[in-house]
Amino acid sequence: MRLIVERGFAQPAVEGSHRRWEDFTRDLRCITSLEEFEYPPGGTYCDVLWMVDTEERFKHLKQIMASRFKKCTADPDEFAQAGWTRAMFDQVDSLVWMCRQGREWVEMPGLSHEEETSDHRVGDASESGSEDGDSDKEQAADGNPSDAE
Amino acid sequence: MARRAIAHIDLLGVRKLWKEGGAVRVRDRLREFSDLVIEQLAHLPSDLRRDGEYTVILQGDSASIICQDVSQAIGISSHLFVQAFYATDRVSRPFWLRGSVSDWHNQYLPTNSDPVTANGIHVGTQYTFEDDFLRDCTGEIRIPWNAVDCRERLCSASS
Repeated sequence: MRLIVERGFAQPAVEGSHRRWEDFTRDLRCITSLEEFEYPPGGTYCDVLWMVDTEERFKHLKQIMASRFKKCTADPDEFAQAGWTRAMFDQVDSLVWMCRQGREWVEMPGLSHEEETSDHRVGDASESGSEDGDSDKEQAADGNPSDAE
Repeated sequence: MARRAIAHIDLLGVRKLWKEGGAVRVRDRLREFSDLVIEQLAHLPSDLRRDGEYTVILQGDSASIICQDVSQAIGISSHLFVQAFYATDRVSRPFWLRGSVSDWHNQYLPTNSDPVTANGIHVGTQYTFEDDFLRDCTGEIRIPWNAVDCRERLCSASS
């Protein structure tokens, strides 16, 4: 379940979309590009992280996601959708970890943020030890919502 | 108030449902989806509701929400995504959605629609009936009289 928006058009909403949970040392950008995810050709797009409004909500939605993921194994089409959504939750987990560590990530040009200083990209957190682990990521990232209908 | 952004939200899996369960299951599924959207629009936070300054168009397995600006479009879409998750145990099967937000300048809606023009300016959109939705139990296609009348009036007005 991805919510996509064109980067330039999203710019007015970017600043108000930052979130800082209690243990963050930097803001989480709720409108951001995700390096491992495909975007429509012919433009620059980013994802809206619709599940991260508060930490409590994200935890709750992650639990629901786990339940939905398990229940859809009998249906290949639904499993592909669940896999893609699960990959998004995992990606957000990586971003949350980076916000707790105070690490920055660099996005593609076109979306201005106040701080873009280091060379850590979205998704690199797994190599640095995301708290939930990333063993499922490659398997879950096979689905593409654009192929579903 | 001007509308400058539009959110498109698609319900996935309906085509497969049509093959598996036919019109009855599709109808029930679309009803679940439209119920979710309509119910949740009544629970929007005030900064998104903005005294009703948005327009929702439900078209079968998709919803288009025409908004004042990109922040409202993203906010309403995110709200619907979250609530679709929370509704997991209340519906026949989980909702899987996909969505996009883009700018809006009275352009065409993405599916089954024709432009409505007035004085050479594109001012709206008319839903185009699909044969499957109009077929009665005998297999005959019955066009509602008001649809025919509406289309004829639009054609004559635009010509």
